[in-house]
Amino acid sequence: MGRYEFFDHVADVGMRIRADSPQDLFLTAAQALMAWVGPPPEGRTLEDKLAVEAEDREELLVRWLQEILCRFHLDHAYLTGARDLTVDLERRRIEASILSKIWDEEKRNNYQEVKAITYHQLRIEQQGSEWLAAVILDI
Amino acid sequence: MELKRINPYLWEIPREGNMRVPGRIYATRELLADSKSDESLQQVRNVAHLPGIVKYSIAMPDIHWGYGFPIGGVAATRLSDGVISPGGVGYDINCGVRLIATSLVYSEIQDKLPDIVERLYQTIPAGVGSSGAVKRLSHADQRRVLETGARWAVEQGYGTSEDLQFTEEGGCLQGADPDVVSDRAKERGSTQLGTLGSGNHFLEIDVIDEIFLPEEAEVFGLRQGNLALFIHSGSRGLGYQVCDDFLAVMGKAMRKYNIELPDRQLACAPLSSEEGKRYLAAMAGAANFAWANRQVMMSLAEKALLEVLNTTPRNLGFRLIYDVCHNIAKFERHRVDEGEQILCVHRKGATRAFPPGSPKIPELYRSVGQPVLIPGDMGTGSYVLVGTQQAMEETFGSSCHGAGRVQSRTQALKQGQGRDLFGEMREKGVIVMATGRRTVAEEMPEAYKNIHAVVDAIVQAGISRKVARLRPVGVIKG
Repeated sequence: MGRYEFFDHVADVGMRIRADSPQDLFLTAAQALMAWVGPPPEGRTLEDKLAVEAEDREELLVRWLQEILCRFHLDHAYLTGARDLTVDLERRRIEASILSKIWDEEKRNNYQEVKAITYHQLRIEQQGSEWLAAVILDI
Repeated sequence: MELKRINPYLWEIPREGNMRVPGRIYATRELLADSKSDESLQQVRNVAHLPGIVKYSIAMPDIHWGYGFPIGGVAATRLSDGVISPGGVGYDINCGVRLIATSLVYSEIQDKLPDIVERLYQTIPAGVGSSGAVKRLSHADQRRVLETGARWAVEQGYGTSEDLQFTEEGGCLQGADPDVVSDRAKERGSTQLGTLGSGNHFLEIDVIDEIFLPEEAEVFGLRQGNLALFIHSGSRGLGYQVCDDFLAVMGKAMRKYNIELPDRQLACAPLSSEEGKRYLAAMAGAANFAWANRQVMMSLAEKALLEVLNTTPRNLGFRLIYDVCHNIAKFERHRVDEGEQILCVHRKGATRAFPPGSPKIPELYRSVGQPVLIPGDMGTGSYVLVGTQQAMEETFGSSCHGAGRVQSRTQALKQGQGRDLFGEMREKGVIVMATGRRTVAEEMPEAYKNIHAVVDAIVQAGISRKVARLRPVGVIKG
């Protein structure tokens, strides 16, 4: 399990993620996104398959987080974990079974809106055995 | 970074390296100091690298750090060899604001203000996951909204056709194609028509506090002491998704057309390309959704006021003054060195500000110019300006759009800790209702530049003229 922190950006917020593997990096980034949005709900659990492809690994991170965010808005699915998560940075592809809890419309005031995952100052890099990523959320 | 002072309200970033044009920032020295602490000036410089950019990469006094373009950025590109950049429009396509006047004299209904704010808060959906007055758009209605914008809303009974005359572009940007808007974008927007959103979106109740240009105010229908409403919102999840979808397309297009730019978020495609045309058609659809959105909310607000005040439409005198977008790209005719040309004008946190005589503004206003609506922070005030010929000559007919942030949300939250923010606003004479305390903290007045300073800078620069100042008395936020 990786670590994350949020950092300032004038109008919005950034996430900085560190992990021991690409899988952990991407999963931790998704969990950080959800943590910013709000607390995990207590609703029913959903498992759903997801596959994402991109032109490069930075875009892969953006597309992955976009998927998670979209499912939050459209399906009311708050990501809580993932099974069989494969992050292939060479082929720029992710596959996973996403575990989510469904949030109730009546509890929507618990959550804050993230409009988009931006490409601004986006980076993924490996430093020694550790993986780092930074991404800014448009809120 | 070198900055050359042109005059007390205008600065230039000289052209160097791969910049195609210089950068120009409208600001006082004091406002500029705020920009030096973030990357917004670098972004003005980056925008100057766009292929086909004409004259200058421009920024307004409310400039602050954005994505690709700074917020407060304006850039015009040539049709022949220029590009369209979704970053120059923003995620919230056609985020904009409309100002509505009433015949209500504030001093006569002041005791009813708490009820008014409460009823509007109950009536206008706000915040995450809020669904609108239109519960779920059918596929057919989705197409109509994307194709016809505010006109669809009027046909459904939200407002009247007269409102369209007082909406930029008549509330409908031509060239929208619902088929290039993704299913996901349509799905995200399907339950959000008639919703405010959150963050810096709001419905504000104001008193028209001061008139600076009586003739212009009379033409616009602004009466000192009367109640007015501002609605600030955009294209909601549909627009965000359109931008998401096309940033990916543009990323590939950059490689295809061998375009190199200093910031990935400036991803673009030639205006003449298939990718560029598809984005413009999707952007127009999202812009039309935003106009329909504001039209529906305005109608809901009118109904709420009629009920809570138990009055008649004639007595209420609810009338749209104007609706402007401040995140958009449009084809407009402007004079450049080579003569008059149609250019693609990107406004990212900037407002169109056309002068007297422009055929693009309502006939009723043509003698005085286009209203330019500038909402401030929720405690300080808002302005109505009017466009000038100098704006046409210098900024492609563009002006500022608001106060601009100076504090991050985290900084604002820290400052707000332990404070009774709702109480502080009440002491300022503003009743605030919001879905969350956090939003109020993030949007507190100290988080923004001084709106008076921003407006004074753009007025002193000759880009707009002050018509009226409005004082907030009620605010609804998501």
